[in-house]
Amino acid sequence: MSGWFAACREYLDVVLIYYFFTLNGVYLVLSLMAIAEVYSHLRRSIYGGYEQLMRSPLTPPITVIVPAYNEEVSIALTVNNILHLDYMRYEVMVVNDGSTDGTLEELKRAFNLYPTQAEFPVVLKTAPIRGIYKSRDNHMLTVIDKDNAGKADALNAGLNEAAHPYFCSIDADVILEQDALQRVVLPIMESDKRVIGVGGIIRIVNGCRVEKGRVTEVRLSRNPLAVFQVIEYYRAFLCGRTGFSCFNGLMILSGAFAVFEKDLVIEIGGYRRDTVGEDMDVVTRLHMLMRERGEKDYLVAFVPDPVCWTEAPYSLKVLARQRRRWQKGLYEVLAESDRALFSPTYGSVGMFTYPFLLVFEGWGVLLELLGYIVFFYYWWIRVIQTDFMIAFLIVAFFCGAALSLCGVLLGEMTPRRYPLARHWLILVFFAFLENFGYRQLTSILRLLGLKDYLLHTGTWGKMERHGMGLFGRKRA
Amino acid sequence: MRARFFRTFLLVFEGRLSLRIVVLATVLLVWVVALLFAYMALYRIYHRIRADYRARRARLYMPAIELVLLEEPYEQVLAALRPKRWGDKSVVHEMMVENMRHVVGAPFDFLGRAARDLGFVAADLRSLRSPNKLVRGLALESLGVMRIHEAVPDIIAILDHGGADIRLTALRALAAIGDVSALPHFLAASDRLSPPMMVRLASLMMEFGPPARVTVRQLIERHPDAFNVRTTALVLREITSREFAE
Repeated sequence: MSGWFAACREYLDVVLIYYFFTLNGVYLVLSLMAIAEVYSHLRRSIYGGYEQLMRSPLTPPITVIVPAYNEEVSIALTVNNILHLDYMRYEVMVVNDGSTDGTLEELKRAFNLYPTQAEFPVVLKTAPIRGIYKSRDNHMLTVIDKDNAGKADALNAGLNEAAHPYFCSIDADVILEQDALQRVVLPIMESDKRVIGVGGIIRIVNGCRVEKGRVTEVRLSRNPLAVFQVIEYYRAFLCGRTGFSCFNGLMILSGAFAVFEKDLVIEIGGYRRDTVGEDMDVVTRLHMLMRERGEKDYLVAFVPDPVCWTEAPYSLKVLARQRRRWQKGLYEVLAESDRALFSPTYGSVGMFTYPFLLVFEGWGVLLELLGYIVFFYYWWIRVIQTDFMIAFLIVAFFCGAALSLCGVLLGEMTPRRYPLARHWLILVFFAFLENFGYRQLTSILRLLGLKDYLLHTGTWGKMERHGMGLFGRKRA
Repeated sequence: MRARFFRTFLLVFEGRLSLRIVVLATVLLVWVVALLFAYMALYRIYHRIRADYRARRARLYMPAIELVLLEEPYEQVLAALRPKRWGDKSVVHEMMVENMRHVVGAPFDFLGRAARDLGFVAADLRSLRSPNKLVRGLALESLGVMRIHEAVPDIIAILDHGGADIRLTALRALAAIGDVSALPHFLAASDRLSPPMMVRLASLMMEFGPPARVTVRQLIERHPDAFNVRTTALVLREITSREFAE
């Protein structure tokens, strides 16, 4: 036993340090790739040709599917916002997933709905449909009322009814940018590869001024938890996802806003109902389908333009629930698609993204927390000198800060940045501050997500919204 | 073996982890962080000052656009649009292009004539030969919006070289100009573009209206795999409805 302990002691510090340098090195490379990609995208978008795209009858029509569960507070506003996007041809399909509040009544009242007897082919099996409604005020709107069976089931119900070749899945509590659909359709039309899915940046609405369902003034929240999440979103979307998309290795498109080729999603059997990470799952399975078919000329694209705004959790309790769910979803998807691990058949996904997510995002959480414990233990028993420990902590601090600053920099480069210098300075300050507590907190939450996965506990939970009805007021 | 490997990467020194690598990494990262911060600060300041200055200068020339809309004498319009200060040229150029997107008829012709007389068209034509992709892209966009027919041969020349995105920008400019003599070049360009871009190409060709119907049909026949049933039906329906309308 003592021999085993000694061997662990000898190797563990080296393993942890290699883990640390590899993780940060990969993130740094991804960030550099993302900076190059964002820069070139922004230059291209100056002469983007969106006007011509909107005039063309060949621009693909889109079905926007909005699964809604107990969204009484914000549903009318969200749907109204979606119905007024700058896009030529699209339909909106709201799927009321057996809400127990007044979501359906609110929709009926706001959009003058009437029941239809329309039958649609059941391609994907879903929970029983209670009724389908059309709007007298807007022909583009359809509401499907069904028994509760989760978000994935609601999306599948929407897919059954969708008429167009592409669909966009969005959350019922987001605010879309006026030109969101144009932005994501451009890669579909102009890429030299077949684009099977597109996502964009999700930004945090907390603190912003929202008027009539549109973000009219970009401001930073006064809630520190929300500010930390702004940096985290910048890092995840702008550095991570843009970086992964450079080599078609993107395995996650946020469920809050993503566009997919409908027939392909139907071909893989729609969204899986037995996972809480259905957004990641669908992208992963699409990659696998294409690769198994031998089709390499396809793309899961990512547009580094802000397309959608969402409310970040204000309280620790809600944040904990959200992060645990995300982490659990990650494990479920990785377990389901384990055949991709180091398999050249699956290209960059199998050879890089999957192993990266498995080692660093998945099980890495154990190493991270173990790292903190081992590091201090070694220092305590004098295996590590004090000067070394301090120097290493400084490296860790600056490494974290550098990555976060990369995210903030990319955020500065993209449209709709924070216009006030004060807000930018706060973001920079928080990029340093997040190393003292917030990162450790998220690691613990991820560990709890691992526990949820192993013990099969944890559910979607309730996201407490402040509602989008705060027109003309700043959202705290 | 293991010890040699770790020593090579300076992670181990006299049997323990080396402080050297940590210190080096710290110094490097401090510089990275400082540079990132400085770059962001400069980036913000530069963009803020530039945007404010350009907006202020553009406001000075806005009355000229009103004169165009009121169809005041051309000389008066030209005098109002003439750059008054070094650096205003690009402000006026940008403002004119932006306004030409939204006007038709006499005001459009007025602005087009003024763009020629003020040397903006010649500058754009020169920019087409720039090695900078952004400059070329902006010139193409500008010439397309202003519908400069004499730029067509130069734009067609761009189709033979340059990356896919600049070629697509050139095709967009040609479609915006609407010179039907460029249509065969769309067909030729299709051989150098990948199949997923064919639908976009067809949509650009349809901008030419009825004269494009034969070429669009030829495009579909030339690249049948690039068009699925739905898209083919849509294109043919659109062409037929335009033929019928004729």
